[in-house]
Amino acid sequence: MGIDQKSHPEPILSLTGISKQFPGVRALDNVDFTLLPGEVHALMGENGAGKSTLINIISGLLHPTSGKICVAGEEVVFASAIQAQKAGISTITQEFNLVPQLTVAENIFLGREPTVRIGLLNWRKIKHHASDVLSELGLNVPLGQRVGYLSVGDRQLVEIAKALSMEFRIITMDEPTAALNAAEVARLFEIIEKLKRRGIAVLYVSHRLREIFRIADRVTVLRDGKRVSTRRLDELAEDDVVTMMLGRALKKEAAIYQEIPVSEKAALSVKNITVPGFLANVSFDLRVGEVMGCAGLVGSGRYELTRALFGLLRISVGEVEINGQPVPLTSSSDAIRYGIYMLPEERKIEGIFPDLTVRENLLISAKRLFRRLSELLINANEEEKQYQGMRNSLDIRASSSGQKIIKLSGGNQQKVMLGRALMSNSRILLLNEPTRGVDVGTRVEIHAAIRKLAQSGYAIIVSSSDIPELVSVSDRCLVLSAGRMKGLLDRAQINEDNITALAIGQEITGDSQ
Amino acid sequence: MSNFPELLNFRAIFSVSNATRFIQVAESLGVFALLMIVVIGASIIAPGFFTYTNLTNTLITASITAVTGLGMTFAIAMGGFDLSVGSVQVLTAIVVASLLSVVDPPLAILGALLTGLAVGLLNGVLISKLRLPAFVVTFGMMSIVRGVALLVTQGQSVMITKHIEFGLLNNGKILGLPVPFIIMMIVFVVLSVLLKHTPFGRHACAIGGNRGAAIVSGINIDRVTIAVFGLVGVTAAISGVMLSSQLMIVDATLGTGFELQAITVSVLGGTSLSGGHGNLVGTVFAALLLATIASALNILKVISFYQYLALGMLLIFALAIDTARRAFIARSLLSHA
Repeated sequence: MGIDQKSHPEPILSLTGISKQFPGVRALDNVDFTLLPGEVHALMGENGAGKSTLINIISGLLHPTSGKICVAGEEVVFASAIQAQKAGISTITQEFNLVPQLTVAENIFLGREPTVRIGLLNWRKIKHHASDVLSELGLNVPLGQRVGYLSVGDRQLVEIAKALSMEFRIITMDEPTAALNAAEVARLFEIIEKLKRRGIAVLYVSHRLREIFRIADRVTVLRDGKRVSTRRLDELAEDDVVTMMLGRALKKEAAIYQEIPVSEKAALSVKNITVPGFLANVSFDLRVGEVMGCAGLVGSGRYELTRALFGLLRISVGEVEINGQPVPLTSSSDAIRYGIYMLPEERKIEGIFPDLTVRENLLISAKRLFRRLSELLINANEEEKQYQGMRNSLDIRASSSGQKIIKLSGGNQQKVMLGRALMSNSRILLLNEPTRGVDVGTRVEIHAAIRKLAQSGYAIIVSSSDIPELVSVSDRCLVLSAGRMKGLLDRAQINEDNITALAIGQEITGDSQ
Repeated sequence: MSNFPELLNFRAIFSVSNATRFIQVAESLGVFALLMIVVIGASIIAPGFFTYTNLTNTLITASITAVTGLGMTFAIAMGGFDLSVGSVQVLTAIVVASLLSVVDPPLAILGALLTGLAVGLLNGVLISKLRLPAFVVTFGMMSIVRGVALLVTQGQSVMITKHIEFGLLNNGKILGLPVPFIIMMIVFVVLSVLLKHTPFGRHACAIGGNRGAAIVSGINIDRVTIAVFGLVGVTAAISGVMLSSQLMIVDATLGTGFELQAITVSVLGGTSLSGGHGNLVGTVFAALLLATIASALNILKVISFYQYLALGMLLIFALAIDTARRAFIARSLLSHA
């Protein structure tokens, strides 16, 4: 196919005819895949397309049902993740494999600490090696710093440093930029370029198309467990990749936004609030029927704003009014009583209940009435009806309401989260990262749902690190920088450049300001 | 689909969670199978085991453990546990025995239950309001309550001499079944409804499954925590009343190691110490298993000290099974997302 055989004659990793059968599901169906030394190879596909299964097979966590894996031309069978590591394959996941209590240097050498003769740690060697690797990456953190105190971006780099120090030939990165800000992404990409120059092959999984085009040389697209195509990215346009992933053309994101009249009535008035340590003097009105975007880098106070409005962080100065009445917000149950609901940033940490079913997850915040004694008990029929209604309107794909939520794809879990907010009977929704880790198709569906909700009279704040997302859904966009309001953009002023400029603390130029 | 409302209802009731239900039933069956093996084995090697009297006694012992075990299962589902139940059992046994010399049995029993509730609520308040780990609070409370029991009795035994009919709570039969078994079944039914069919039970499981998400979902964590520990206190008090009725003479040294039994029957019954769900049926079977083993060892004249060894090994065995099961589930989940 489009494989460039001339410059790299031998692939470092090649999979032939890989299939993986799970009970009732064929997760991978006869997939071929090659990774060349020194290339960045993107792996794309919607949730459920088989990306994770493929990565898990490459990293030794799963066995293929059939097919052959070769590393540097030699056939291998991985019985465990350790064997894959020994073959030179490192996997950097979103769940970091670092010990937060240990220092940077200790983490880099964890499990293979150099020692002096009598078995004591050889600190000189540890420091020497660690600082070599870090300076090669251009990572400027003290070696003695505990990893727990580092930013997410720096932690990721420590993981890469660990992989480099172990002389891996293949590094797989699963959604590496999901939690990074723009500057950290730029730094990560510089490092990936360095890795390429050293001949290391990088398998890069991301939902973010733009990134793929910035960093990757080739792309393999999976759909329903089958390989659709492997192509050089310089032959493709973004739309081509999306079409390959979906099997059809995508509705344009920009088309989602349609101006609808927003009422002048404020659903939520934030009056000069200060959240100690995070925010100072923030004021705005959120109107009925409006989607207000909220942008800001990590540390801007963006997430903290939504947490404070949901009663999870203390507001020391200022007032929050709902329908003109000041309300005390001291706990999330207070906030829900006043009709405010927040979706958390990290679905896994603060969102889903892994032991509960889809239906139980959906209805955990549902308002309950106790008019009769029998209503003390949960009415299974009523709940099933509510679930079916929400399933239809949000197109939640689950095999049954009794399925455990953890079995759903990220996009479907996120839809359940959105449904949970709707079932809470709140009219003010604070949505954090509503499409993080969600595939392009679902992303568009969620954006459309948000617009539709606003139209039907909800007041919504969308707080996101994904600037194109803010552009596509917001009527107005609040930009925070270092805990202060840097601007409140009108629809006419909303574009990626303006938001980015304000977020990094610059002023915006041009006629609109 | 909407043409068949009956079908929808049927699905709503029975699809609560097919997979989960299956796993839970399988787990209960596992303990049940083990129980059957031990019962059959004991009947063969221990003559006198399979007699009416011995089976009744075994059932009574099992029921006393199961009542507190059921409460413990609730606490474990919420991601906590209560080490003070042994001390609460003995204190409430003493309270009911002492009160019987001054008031009628119903009031004496009420006094014991309120005592258990008070200790449980105090545990809950300390855990939720002072943000202390359940381990520390209930470990401390275990010593405090034991101390109170010793102080109240001055180290002496309390004998029940008035209201001898109190013994019927142990010896009585309803429909041919021992009263302690009936009491245990009532506790079982009430807690099953609470756990599976009320928001309270669901919230407890939610807190055990993902505390952070529970906070964000607007669940009042403090209130649920206090209520669950109050509930555990009450179940321990019921066990205390049952114990008092069984022995008719109680002292403050009883009930040591009872907390270990309660935790063991929960875990052995299929409730994971990591929280998030509770298997009450399994708890009952596990309590029967434990009582059967103890009874068989007694009949075989094995020194009772060995029962401690058996209990400890069972707990470790149960935890090993639980860990293996979670590893299996984690592995099967790799297939998705």
